[in-house]
Amino acid sequence: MPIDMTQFYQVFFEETQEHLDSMESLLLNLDISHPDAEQLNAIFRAAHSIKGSAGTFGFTDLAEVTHVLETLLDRIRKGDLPLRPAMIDAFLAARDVLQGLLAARRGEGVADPLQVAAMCKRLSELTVCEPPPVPVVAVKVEMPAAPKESAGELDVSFVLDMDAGAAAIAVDNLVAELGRRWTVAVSERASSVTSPWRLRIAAEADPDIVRSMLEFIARSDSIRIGPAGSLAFAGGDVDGAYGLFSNEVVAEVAAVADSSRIELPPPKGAAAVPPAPTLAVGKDAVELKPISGADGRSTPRPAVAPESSIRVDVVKVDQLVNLIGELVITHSMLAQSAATLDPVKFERLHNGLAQLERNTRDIQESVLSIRMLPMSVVFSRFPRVVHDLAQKLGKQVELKTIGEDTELDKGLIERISDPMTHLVRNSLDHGIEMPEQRIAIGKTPSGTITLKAYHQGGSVVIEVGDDGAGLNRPKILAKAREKGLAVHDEMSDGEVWLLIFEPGFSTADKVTEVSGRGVGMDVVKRNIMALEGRVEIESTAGIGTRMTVRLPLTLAILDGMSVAVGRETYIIPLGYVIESLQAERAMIKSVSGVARLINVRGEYLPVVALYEIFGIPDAVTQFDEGIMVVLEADGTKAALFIDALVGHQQVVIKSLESNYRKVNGISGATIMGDGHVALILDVAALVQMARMALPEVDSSGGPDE
Amino acid sequence: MMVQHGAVKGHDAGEGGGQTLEFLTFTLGPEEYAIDILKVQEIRGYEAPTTIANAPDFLKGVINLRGIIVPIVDLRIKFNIGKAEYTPFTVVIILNIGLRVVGVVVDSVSDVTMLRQEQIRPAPEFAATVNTRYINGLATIGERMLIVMDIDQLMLSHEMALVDAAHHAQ
Repeated sequence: MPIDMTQFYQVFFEETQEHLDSMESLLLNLDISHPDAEQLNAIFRAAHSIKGSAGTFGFTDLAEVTHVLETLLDRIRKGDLPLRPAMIDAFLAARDVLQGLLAARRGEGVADPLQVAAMCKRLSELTVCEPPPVPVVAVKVEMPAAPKESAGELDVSFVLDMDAGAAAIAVDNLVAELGRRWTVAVSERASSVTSPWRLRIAAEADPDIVRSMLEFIARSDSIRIGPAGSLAFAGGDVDGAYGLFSNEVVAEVAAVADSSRIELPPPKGAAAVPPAPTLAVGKDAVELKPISGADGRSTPRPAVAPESSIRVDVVKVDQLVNLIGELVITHSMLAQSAATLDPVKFERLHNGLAQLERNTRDIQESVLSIRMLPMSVVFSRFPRVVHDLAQKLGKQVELKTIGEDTELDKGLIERISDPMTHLVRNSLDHGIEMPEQRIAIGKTPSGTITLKAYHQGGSVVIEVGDDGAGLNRPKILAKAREKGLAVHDEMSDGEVWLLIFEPGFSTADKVTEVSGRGVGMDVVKRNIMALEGRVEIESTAGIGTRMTVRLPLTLAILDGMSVAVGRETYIIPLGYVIESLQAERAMIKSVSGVARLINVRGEYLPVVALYEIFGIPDAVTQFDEGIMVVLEADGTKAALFIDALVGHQQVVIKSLESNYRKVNGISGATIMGDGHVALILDVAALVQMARMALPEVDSSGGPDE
Repeated sequence: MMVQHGAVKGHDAGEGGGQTLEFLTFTLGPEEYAIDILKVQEIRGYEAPTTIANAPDFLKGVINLRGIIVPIVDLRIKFNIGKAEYTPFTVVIILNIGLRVVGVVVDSVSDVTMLRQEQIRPAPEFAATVNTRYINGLATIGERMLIVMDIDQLMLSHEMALVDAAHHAQ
């Protein structure tokens, strides 16, 4: 009967991914001249764990690479070999190869055996006078004679959930694996499927490593590690940190969990024990303390790194957000009805409603925060990107990140990382100069790229800055002319910089692997626009360049200003609002008798009267009786004329198009506290309308930015 | 007033071999219409919707239906029959048209009727206020003449302007 190991694959994939990730960040943080022993150990352990579990699963390619990697790491951490920068690069490359192999095992690509061989060779070459690596899985180690008992040795006992033949192979592999590190011997072979195996391991063995290796083949709740002799008999004294069940219960649980077993031991209170947690949930099960029916003893599970997050389908969260929205509305409807009731007579009702309101708001806040992730999720990938690219280009770059805790909606986080990568690569490739050039102009040889994220109003601002050469204005203009774009020498710097976002635009002298093919920056801009964001560039020749990306906090919620026109309520996204003011008659000027301009502190802005555009009856029509809201979209300003400001609130954006159609000037809808629908204004479209309505205005009268 | 799908047995082969279908009937002025009940999600009272700028007059606006934004169409205005008054008795039929949800205002909802396929006869060209394009046929039950409407066709049509042009192209 073939053993079904596939059920454990997912755990293996996840764990290996974690190990790979931690390995990468450790490698990047490693101080090459004075490596921290603890960090080296951690890297070693990560490689080792991958090797162990890969071997157990028969993923030979993974095991092969990690084996060589591990050998090298071991020598470094023991001080046999000095750490060299080339090693770090090789390790990172090995990590990537492993990542590729892992993906292939997941079915997301094809493993390249040549790559594996090349990597093994590269690593081996770094390990001078290292004997050739032994293939890991194929080896069957002769069972050593039972070692002499000595204090300090570790006893390990575990139950395998597989048939005898498979178990023997799995244990052989395991022993071979453990044997690489420590002296190991099988002290007791399992007599049946459900009885435990026992191993004795040398005292230096790290119980955590042993455990992590065991967890791939053994029932995680059955693994026990303790000083030699302590596990001599079932239910005996168990190392408090590692034991869980007495052996009988383990056996029963194992049997209960797999009903296809033939040899069911007589039930002994096993029914009271919940089915043993699977490996997948094992990490979360720290608090799960099944009480053994036999002796009522329970011991906590070992402190495996606690898993502090769960994966939830975003659809479920969105559904929750929707339902909470409904709850808020239902509450306000109740509150409205209750408001007519005598406050003295219905005091308890009123108190209850007040309580409900608080709770509802709290729930709403928490639910919305589920969707938020810190920017560090995005930033964390850049040390590697910068390291690799700097290496390739022969530049020296230091990466600084500020504001990693800034939170952003998950949907945005996922979609901002590619454009960000592009911006960073661009800064590195075009911005930062070669070390010699930098020294020549009196800069430090090492350039700095700064990633910064912070909240500003209703948006998140992400900056990618470099202290490089800055953008080259004449070159950009020349390139633009060459491409036939409408440019002139009087264009402001800001306008010139924006040209680099034109499709097919690249000022790189030669096409490199990194950039210069002219695909990218236009895509970056398009992607950012698609997220309701915008990108700005500031640049000073010789000093550096800063690209600023502004994004809304979330795509689901909008910080809005509710305004009244006639009997209607509209929401203006707050991000576009610059100010609101009460106009005086003298501020309004007309051009050609039709279009109107308002003079706001010397700046003439076109006026968009919402009641006119939307044909709203019963609205204020005199400009000095209503409110002017100054809006800015795409660098253009306009004044929106409305009746009155109602308030500021966060609204959940609902699509108008899912059941209706796109409406010009409206970007969506939301549900107000009273259950009514309010429409959200499409400020960019309104500002555009204002421009269209305006006859050709002399540029000096328009906003110049 | 919720009409529950599948609450009444139907849609199985009736006597005479023809398929028996269930229809919701409603009135628009003097005419009585029938629509496939499977298109009906629910029937609810009329509440003032939020008007949408520059929309045709029969589009009353959008309402919040348990968190979903649903457009409301007044068929009385669209077909220029009956009086477009909104009283506590005015009802909105919430329809599921494909993946979309649309509400229509009618004069009154009459009942749920079973019709066999052969009871539905082709409509003459001049039959009703509603264009024959959106009519599947006529059915007679005693004194009543029911106009069997193809509500999908009507709601997705250009003249209702409920969907973007892009959707028509599909």
